[in-house]
Amino acid sequence: MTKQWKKDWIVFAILLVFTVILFVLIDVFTLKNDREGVSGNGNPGLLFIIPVIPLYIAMLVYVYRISQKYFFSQNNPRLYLGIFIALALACIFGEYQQIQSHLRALGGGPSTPDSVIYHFPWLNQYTNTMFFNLYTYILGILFVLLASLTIARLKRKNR
Amino acid sequence: MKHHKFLMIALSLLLLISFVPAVSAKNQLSEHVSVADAEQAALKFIRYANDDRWLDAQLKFATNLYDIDESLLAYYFIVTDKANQNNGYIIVSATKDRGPVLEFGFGTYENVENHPGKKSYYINGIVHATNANEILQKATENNIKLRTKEKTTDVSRSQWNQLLTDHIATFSTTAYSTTATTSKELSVSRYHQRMTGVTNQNSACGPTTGAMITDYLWYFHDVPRSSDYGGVAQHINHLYDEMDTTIFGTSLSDFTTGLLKHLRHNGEKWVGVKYRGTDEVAWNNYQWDIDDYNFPTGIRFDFWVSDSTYTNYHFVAGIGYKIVNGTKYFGFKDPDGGSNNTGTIYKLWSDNDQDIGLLHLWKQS
Repeated sequence: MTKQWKKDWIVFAILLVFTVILFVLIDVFTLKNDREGVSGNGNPGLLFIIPVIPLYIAMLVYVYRISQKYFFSQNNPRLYLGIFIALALACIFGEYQQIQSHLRALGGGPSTPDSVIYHFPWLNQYTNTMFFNLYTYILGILFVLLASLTIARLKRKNR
Repeated sequence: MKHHKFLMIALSLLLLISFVPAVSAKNQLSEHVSVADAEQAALKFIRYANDDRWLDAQLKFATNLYDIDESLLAYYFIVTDKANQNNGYIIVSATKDRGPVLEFGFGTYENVENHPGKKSYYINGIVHATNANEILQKATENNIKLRTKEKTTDVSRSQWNQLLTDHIATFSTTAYSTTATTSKELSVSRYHQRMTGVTNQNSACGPTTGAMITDYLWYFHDVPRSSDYGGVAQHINHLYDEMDTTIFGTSLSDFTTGLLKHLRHNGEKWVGVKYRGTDEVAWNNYQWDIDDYNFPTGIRFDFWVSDSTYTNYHFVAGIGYKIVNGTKYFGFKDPDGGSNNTGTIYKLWSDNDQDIGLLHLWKQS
């Protein structure tokens, strides 16, 4: 293991921990539709959404860097490709279900008059977890891994 | 002989045991309140409530309300005036271990009648569903834990007994008894935080509450009003800046600082102090502000709240109160919840006091 490789792993691990904590905090600060009254006092979840975006992107960069070295030396990428695609499809299905159940619980989206979030923006105090959840977190990583795998194969071919 | 004695004792015990469930079943039955009794209780409540808006009020039973365990929880009555126009609602408990009146409101009301094929559930507000499982499923999907409505057996039973035994030959809502009620409501106009022209609609509940309070105070004091800024929406936008409100919302401290700064624009010396609903003199403060000073109160609901609390992370304008047979209700205008949510909502103080922060205003001479 080279020094650079080790450094990449450490930075990745730190970013992973931070982003997971921030995703959990987004969930904690997202309101549930379990009250008679509607909250109109802004979105406290944004306190964690704003920092998590650059940190998550930085983490994906490190996922790419680490995986590039690994995939470049792999002779049989089809297995990985199959696993990643299967996981991505499962996550897309999970995310779809998550959005559906969220909207059902809220009585519809921002354009539905009976909805709790009627006239709200799509990202609001009730919907943060519709966009920032386990499925979207894993999906981001999987897309980077797929891209990394493809690029590594192309590099190998052109070598 | 010994055998006979044993047989007698055994038979006696058997009889005793067989009576126990019957007695307890009878007790359980006696807790149930019929629609007629609930209507009587609601009529008495109207009579005690002593409010001009419910003069000559009639009641129309609208629907049963169920709890999450499918038990009958309450009855929803629509209050109508002489001309048969809807003028509010009263929700009365269907058992004697809660209530008697769980909630009431003036003005527009929840449309509970137009939901064919669905039952109405009273779970932090009214929810319409085919059955409780449908609601429970949705709640589970969203990590919401639902519980049956809390019982207040001791207090409620004595109040029920008082209401139902306090015989009054004919109920006339025109003939008031003023002894049982203390109440007052300030005629504050309700503003909608999502009205056209409001720039940051999603986080404007604090500034909108401030605008409602300021426009009412203008009638008695030299404070700015909406027309000074070109309209209500512009007034809300101005307060948004003054309260340092952001997309994350308004804190009670920022609400206090911003509102006081705003009220002092024309030179009057306004001061204020925050207090919690559970403070020793909280209710008295709230009541005095409305009774003695005609001051509406900014009320902020906390982010983490208990099951019985009206809402979370939200500002409303406290504009009234009622004490009916010793039970305290606070009335407020909610800046959110749709453009038609213009009525005054009355909630039990004891259900909400643990989760609210309030602003006590006064003016120095």
